[in-house]
Amino acid sequence: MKSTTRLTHRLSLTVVLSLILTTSCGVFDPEPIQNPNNPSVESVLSNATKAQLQNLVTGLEFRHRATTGSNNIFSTFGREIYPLFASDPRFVNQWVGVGEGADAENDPSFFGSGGTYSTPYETVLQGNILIQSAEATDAVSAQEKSGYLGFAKTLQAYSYLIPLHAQYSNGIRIDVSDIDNLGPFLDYDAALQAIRDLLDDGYSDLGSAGQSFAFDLTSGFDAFSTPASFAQLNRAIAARVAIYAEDWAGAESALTSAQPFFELASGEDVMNKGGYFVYGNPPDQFNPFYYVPNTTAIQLPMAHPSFVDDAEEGDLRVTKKVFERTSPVTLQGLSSLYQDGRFESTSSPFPFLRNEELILIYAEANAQSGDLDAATDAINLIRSTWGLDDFTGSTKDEIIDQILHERRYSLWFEGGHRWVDMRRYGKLSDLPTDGGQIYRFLARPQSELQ
Amino acid sequence: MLKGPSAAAIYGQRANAGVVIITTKRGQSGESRVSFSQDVGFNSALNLIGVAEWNEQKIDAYTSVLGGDAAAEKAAYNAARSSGRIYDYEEILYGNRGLINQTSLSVSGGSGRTSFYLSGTHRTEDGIIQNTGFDRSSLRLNVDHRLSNTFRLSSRSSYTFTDNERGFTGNQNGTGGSIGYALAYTPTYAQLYPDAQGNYPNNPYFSDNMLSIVDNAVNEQKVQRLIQGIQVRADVYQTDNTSVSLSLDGGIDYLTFESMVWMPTYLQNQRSSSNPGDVVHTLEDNFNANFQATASINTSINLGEQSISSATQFGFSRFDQLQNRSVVRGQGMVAGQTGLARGTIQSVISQSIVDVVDLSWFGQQEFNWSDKVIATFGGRYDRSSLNAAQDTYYFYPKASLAVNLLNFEGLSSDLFSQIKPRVAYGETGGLPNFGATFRSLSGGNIGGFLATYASTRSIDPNLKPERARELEFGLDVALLDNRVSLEATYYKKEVEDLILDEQVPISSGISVIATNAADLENTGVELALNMIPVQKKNFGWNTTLLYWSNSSEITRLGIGGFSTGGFGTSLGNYLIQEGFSPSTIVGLPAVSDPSLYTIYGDAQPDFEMSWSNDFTIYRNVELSFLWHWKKGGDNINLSYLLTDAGGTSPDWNEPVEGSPFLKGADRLINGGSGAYIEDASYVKLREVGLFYTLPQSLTGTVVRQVKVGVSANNVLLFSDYRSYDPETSVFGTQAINNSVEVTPFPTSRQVVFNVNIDF
Repeated sequence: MKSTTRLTHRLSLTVVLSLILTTSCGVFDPEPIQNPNNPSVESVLSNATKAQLQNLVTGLEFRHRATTGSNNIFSTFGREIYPLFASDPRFVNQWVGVGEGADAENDPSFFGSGGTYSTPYETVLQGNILIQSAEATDAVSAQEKSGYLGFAKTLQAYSYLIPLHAQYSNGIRIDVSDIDNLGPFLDYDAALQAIRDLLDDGYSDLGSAGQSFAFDLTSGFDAFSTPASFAQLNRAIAARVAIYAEDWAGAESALTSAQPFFELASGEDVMNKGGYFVYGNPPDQFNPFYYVPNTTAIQLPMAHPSFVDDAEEGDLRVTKKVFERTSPVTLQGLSSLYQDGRFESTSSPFPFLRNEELILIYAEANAQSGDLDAATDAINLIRSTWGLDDFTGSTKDEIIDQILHERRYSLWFEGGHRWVDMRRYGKLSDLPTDGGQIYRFLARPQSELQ
Repeated sequence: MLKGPSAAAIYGQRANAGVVIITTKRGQSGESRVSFSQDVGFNSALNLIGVAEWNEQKIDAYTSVLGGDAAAEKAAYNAARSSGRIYDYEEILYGNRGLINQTSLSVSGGSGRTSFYLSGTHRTEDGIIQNTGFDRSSLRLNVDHRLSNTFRLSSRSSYTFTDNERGFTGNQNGTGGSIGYALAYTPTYAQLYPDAQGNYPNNPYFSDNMLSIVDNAVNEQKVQRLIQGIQVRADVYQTDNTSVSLSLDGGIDYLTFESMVWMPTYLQNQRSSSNPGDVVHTLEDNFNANFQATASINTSINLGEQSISSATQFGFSRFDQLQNRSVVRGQGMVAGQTGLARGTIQSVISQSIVDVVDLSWFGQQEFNWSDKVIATFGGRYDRSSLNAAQDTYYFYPKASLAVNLLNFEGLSSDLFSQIKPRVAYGETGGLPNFGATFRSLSGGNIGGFLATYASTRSIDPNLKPERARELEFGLDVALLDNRVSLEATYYKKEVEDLILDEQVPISSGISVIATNAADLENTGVELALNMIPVQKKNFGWNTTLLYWSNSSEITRLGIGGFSTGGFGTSLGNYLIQEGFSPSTIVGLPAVSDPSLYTIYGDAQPDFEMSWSNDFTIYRNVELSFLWHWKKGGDNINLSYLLTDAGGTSPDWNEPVEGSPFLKGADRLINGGSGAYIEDASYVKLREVGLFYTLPQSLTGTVVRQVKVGVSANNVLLFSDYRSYDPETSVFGTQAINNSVEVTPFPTSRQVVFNVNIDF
């Protein structure tokens, strides 16, 4: 009896001692757990290194590339394509508007509309983080800082245009830098002006950014790898926004500053000069618009049959952009024989702004401001490049109609220009409905309604 | 199983959803005992949906609405019909009879201070789809040893290996592979069987030939799990009235998970890929460890007739979790190869780590006055690295009181054997998900450069655990020598600071912030009536009737209302809004009411009941069965949406008054969001068992007992619900979002014959 008690005491002591020992190893007060998977946003907001800024710059390119997420839906609204994705009947029901209750203008959680809103605003956020980080570090000179700012603001402006296209008369927020204190919704015209102001800001930053950037860009920006050449891209975007704002003189002056990127000449290479989203094998991403020719999977955008039916005889843009499949793709009553043939492979780049658009902006600005000859000449640069005879219309209306026609074929499925163009000129009712509806805009998203 | 906070409060911050306690057998000293058990049975589909008939008129009706070349389809149909090649693909795919085989052997025994229990089980099961099923082997060893009169040591070890062939059903996105999805779009005249060389034709109606997926694609999981627990218990002080004991419990739970999904190059969905042949390997390591030190003091004071006993417990516990998961992918695979290095494109889809530490200090005091009044109170201080304030302790109290009325003098009764009113109160916690308190810079690659970009999840620096406060009133009554007993419980559970992903204005570039956004109130009733109507020497009948119902309401929402889950509001999803139950199902069109959208249903059932019965006949025949009735509760049946789109819903061809379309097309076109939200009431015969124990006279001295029998699960289903099983969810068991289905793996009925021999 006695001995067991002693044993008890001894063992109890051991237990207590081992508890005390483990205490010193942090058993009772462990270190806080840090995020084991990613760095934190806070880690770059002050005293960022140049390497961290480079990653943020590339991050902005990465977010910028994701804005192609609006291409399928806008191009469906403008009837450039059919969204034949069998994985979900709502692509046809909701986007084409054939389903009961489909109503993009009043449905605040419209199916598949994230690419028109959240994705571009993620680009804006990334731009703000880059700007904040560049401003709150001593690792870069004032000149270098201007380079970061000019780059960020230019791509932010490009992104703002996407929700504005989607929301149109609803307007959008521009000031979104403070999540707890978001700025007001600006109407369409005010938002366009704010985007132009941002571009002008960026342009002036680029002007004081010296000879070269303190960072590197992917090959998609090869034509714009210095502050001076990037400034031309800035002006090209400014010209695009100017025609939406119907500031024709502003468009012409922006184009002048976008030279030599903007070039009034013919030829395929001249047309295709511009900025591109680049793709590659993992860990990079595949070009989301590349599909195997004649794929049997009903899971791809197909050219709207009217794109081929309405084309002029011999228009090379049609044969270069789409090809006739061995069999049509049919889904939910929509059928097309024409598959997108623009891309060689999953690594082919996708353009986000080309000189061909600038030539058409030039034509439109001139036509609107009365220089019909300059407009006609510009149109014919495009037409001769694509194997077509000169255009011979003479009135302003004829020329504008022709510009819309050329834009339809030159910019097919490159972000959804046709929907925006037809809306600008009050011609949405000319688009085929395919048994559905042509929406004018998208409802303001649910999360913004509070 | 401890369901509410009032019962589970001692388990603290992780107990909001209840607690499951598992105890396993321990050996007994003395003669060694050996037990052998053998099961043989089969799986078959509980319920198939059926498929609409195809004919020329149907083809016209379908193609005129949903497209396709009517003439070509008719030609294909007539060719198939004239050659007798019309197929019921649902029956072909899900009609397999899968064999079940299980062998178990256990040995228990011991001598002196040591006892042990050792068991091993091997089970193989084939599914109702060819090439699905699993093999599972498990081994368990429990050892108990008495070191001295004071010290006891016990060890619990178990190891399980499961090799699971899961098959391909359920939802799919653009990538292909779900046979359920493909089945929905495939008419009976489609020709999918392979030619003489074994080449499967393309399915012209969808991206996959289901027969080829079943025969050639692989979706396998291998899971190994090792659990080891050790307990040291010391009875350090013992007198007649008082005992003090200390116990140390430690355990590890280590699980490795290895899965492979392989789509060989020649599958239809791969032939349309730019890099045919696709394999995804997932490797996951889960390591959980816990440690607990508890002191218990039991003491009692006798005062003549009366006694008061006290039980005190306090201690400390710590829980550590470390998970590491990698997902890698190979595309453009060498024919027949699944190794990542055999791929043209090799990529890492994700690598993620979860690291969690929880600490807790706890204590509990119970007083028992002569079994007349039993009162308990206690509490825990818990902290967790999942909270925003990682080193802050949160307090969770509990208390309960029960009174045995019949134990008071003068209140005893001949009729009643127990009347026990009780009341309990408890608080438990609910922790944020891992990652909810980190604001990340995510990574990506573009054009050979490395990108970091702000993730779309931001953080609430004040995020704290949810707190559930439950007050429960109950009455336990037993009468007629306990042959009739009723337990009735009413509870009210208020969840305060419910953690929700707030959907912030997405113009901020942020989509969600986990925040303490809401208060939720649950009230419910649980009734359990147990009766022994017959208790004769040669016939016994024990029956239990359970009834339970619950209703929920969001009583406060600090953020704007929104709809969440499912596949978006246009197909129906769940409303989170003040004044509504979070199980409310809404769809288009949007409305200006507080409900934001049109309400189509509620996933919460009106009530549920179960009825179990056990009969003992001539002592050696046992018959048991269990019925389950769920009344009300709606599902979002997206399987039917897909079969309508494919023309294969069984009622597709029926005319609809006043509509130019047949029923399936009419639902698809005119039905709107509500068309696929439907009542999921059911009555199920869940379990039936019949066992016969051989009379002692037939068994010898070596064999102690022989028992033979047959049992079945999911025996019968009665429901108007238009799919395989109203109990199904594509998203698994989430708190909300648990009533959506998309072409699931059909539920199986299991029938198993069993022999059990004890030596």
